[in-house]
Amino acid sequence: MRMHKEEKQKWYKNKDLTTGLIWLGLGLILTVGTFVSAESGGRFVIAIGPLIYGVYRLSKANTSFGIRAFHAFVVVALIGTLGYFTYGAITGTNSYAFKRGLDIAGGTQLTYVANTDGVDPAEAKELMDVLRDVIEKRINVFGVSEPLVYTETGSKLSDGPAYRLVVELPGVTNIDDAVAQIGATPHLEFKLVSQDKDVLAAQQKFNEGKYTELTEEEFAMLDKVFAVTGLTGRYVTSAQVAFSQGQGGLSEPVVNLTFNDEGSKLFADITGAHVGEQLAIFLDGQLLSAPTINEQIAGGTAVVSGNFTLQGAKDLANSLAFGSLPIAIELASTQIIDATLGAAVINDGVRAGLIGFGLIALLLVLWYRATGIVSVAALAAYVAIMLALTLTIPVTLTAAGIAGLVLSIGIAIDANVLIFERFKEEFRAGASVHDALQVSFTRAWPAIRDGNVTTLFAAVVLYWFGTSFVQGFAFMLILGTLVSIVSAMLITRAFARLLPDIHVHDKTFISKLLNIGA
Amino acid sequence: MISRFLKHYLIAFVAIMIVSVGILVAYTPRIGLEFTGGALTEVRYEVAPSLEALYALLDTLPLAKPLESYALRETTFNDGKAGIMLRTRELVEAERIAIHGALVASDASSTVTRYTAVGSVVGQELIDKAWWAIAAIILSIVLYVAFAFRGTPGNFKSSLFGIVTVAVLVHDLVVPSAALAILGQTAGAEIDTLFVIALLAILGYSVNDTVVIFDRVREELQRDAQKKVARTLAEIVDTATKLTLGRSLNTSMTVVFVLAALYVFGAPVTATFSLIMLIGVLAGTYSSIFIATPLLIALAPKFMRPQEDDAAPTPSV
Repeated sequence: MRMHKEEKQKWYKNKDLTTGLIWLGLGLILTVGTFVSAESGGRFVIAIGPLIYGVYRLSKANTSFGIRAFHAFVVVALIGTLGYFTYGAITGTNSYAFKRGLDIAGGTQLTYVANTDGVDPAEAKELMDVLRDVIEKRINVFGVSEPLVYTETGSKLSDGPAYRLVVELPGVTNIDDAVAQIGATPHLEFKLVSQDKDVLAAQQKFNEGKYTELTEEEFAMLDKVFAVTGLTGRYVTSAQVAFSQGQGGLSEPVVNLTFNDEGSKLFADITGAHVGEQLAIFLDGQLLSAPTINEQIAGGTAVVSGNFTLQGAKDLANSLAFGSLPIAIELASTQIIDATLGAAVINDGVRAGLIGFGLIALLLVLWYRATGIVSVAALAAYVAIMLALTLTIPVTLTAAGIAGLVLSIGIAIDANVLIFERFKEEFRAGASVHDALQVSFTRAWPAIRDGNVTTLFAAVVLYWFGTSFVQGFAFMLILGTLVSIVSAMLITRAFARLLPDIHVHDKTFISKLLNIGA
Repeated sequence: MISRFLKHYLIAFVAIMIVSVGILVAYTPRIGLEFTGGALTEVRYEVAPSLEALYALLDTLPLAKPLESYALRETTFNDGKAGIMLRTRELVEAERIAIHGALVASDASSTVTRYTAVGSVVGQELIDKAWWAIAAIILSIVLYVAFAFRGTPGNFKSSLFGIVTVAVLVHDLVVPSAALAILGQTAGAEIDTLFVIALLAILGYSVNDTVVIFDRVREELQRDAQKKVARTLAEIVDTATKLTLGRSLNTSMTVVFVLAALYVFGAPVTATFSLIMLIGVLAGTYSSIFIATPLLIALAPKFMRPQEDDAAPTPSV
């Protein structure tokens, strides 16, 4: 019976060893393979899952010194690869570089709020995408290197979802032209004029300036004068200036529009269903004209008239050719950051990080001696992993992000401190090094888990709270917390298992090293 | 060590709260631009004009709508160059161009180094979000703590751990806020997003600190349950605090060193942030040792589990 049990245990341990080695091998081949291919332009992928699982299984296997040394060697080789990769990115010998946020690189951020009144909420998201494409096209014409245009959804807790468009222009600090360019993007809308007599009467009163005569009901009716049709300038493929017979036989400049297929169909449907009604044309919220629909228009072309000057008609046609806004937007906030300020941020952040790391290394070695050295090695590995992940994901570095990174080093230490405080306790109580390690890793785990999960809660809520600026910090904190768990439970363990399996009463040099310290 | 001076620690807790809230009421910190809306301009000068000259300039600037109230103060850049910060109401594009042009006119090598304009709608949304974020964090932490410690042996309900955590979190929010109020008086610090970030990060850190001690309390309680001995809760808390003290102080010291490095050597943008974090981490360490554990002992009698009735009939199988 007893023999059987031991055999079974041995088999389990060997299973840990083989499974660990297989996963580790797979992960290594992927990671090192893509690392080599990255040198010649491929993409570097860190096979996080297989590597972590492999190292985890290996760390469970109770094996000979040879295997333990190999285990530690694998971890060192892996970290070394990441470190070398990061070093290459910093010195510019590989194609990777840290993505610098606007506050570090310098530049301008413009935030526009979209006016989604009267827009079907289900369609708003799609319209925002169209809006982004239109503005992106405009910015590209403007010739800024690597502009970033993206949409943001406001807090769902405020009154209805607010959609925002954010334009980031790295290196541009003179925003006059940029604001003017974006501002010149026309917003063309086609709206049906109401047929309701009461509504029109209210409108009439309003137009005549008889505001005081309006009843509350009539006032509410003013919103119903023009009905949204969904036909906007986004369906326009081209626009030309033409001349038509105006009042008194004079020729008047007009703009001929050509719609795409979708727009043509929409236009035909609208004109077909509302013969005899007026179709109002708005440019940037101003009523241009409201011609009466005489018959269904199927050809996919429309004429916009509205007392244009020749120049005005030309400008509109040119603007429409670049694309028209599907939704009206308004500049809500502007941020300009000078580039010299940003360079200081990154230099100071790196310096603070290095000094902080040096101080911590000193303290750890002073406090824990032999295990302190293990912690410092694990911590260096932690930093290497974090930097490599920042490069490959890639995470945009902002001042807040760097602060998050530096702070996360503190979190990573905590796990090591928890483990080695416990180790010292057990070791002094007479346990052998390996038994003490086993106990301290097992016992420290609930505290590390509970502590880190609560930090993760905070970080996830932060990320959700975030504008992009805050999210940089939160993302670093989430990443740092997760990596610190891996670093403490797997990397620290791999290194710590290299310590000789001695007792406190052995009185050797190493046992003294393990015993002294605060 | 905790149970012996229990009353002192509880009195100190109340005193800290009263003083901090007092500071907050007396010197309520100013709310930053990101929340209120408005525009902030920073200009860097080689030769800085006097504030009086700038006041005169701004007061007479022909704008569509007068600036009315604005705040102007001097700043110093890292390299010793002088600069000014101008905070105004929201500006339309033409006004921005006019003001920026006027500010840099006196000195050819001066530049606008930073301009931030935030609409009041965006600001209000951010305020809402900040409150929700803080509330959501506290709630989720309390629920998690109550959940994680649900099976703890002992004759009190495990929700005690959650309730004590709330008290600790409130302390850890109030103390750094009071610190910001003082910084507002001395260095013009304001409530901005970085401050909210700092508060949330402090919450995460402090609760981590507290959970480690609670975790040890749980372990000691489990040990007692296994060995069928019954120490008083006060004895157990004392042991747990003593055993985790080394870890608590060591971890705090490392984090304090990192933050101190960030404060002294980091970018000026994050200086206030690091200082607030530093104070928050110290407050968090103090609160987990000298507030969480005394409260655990003091509140335990209010969270007694109803005694199980020995005479209850055992259900038949």
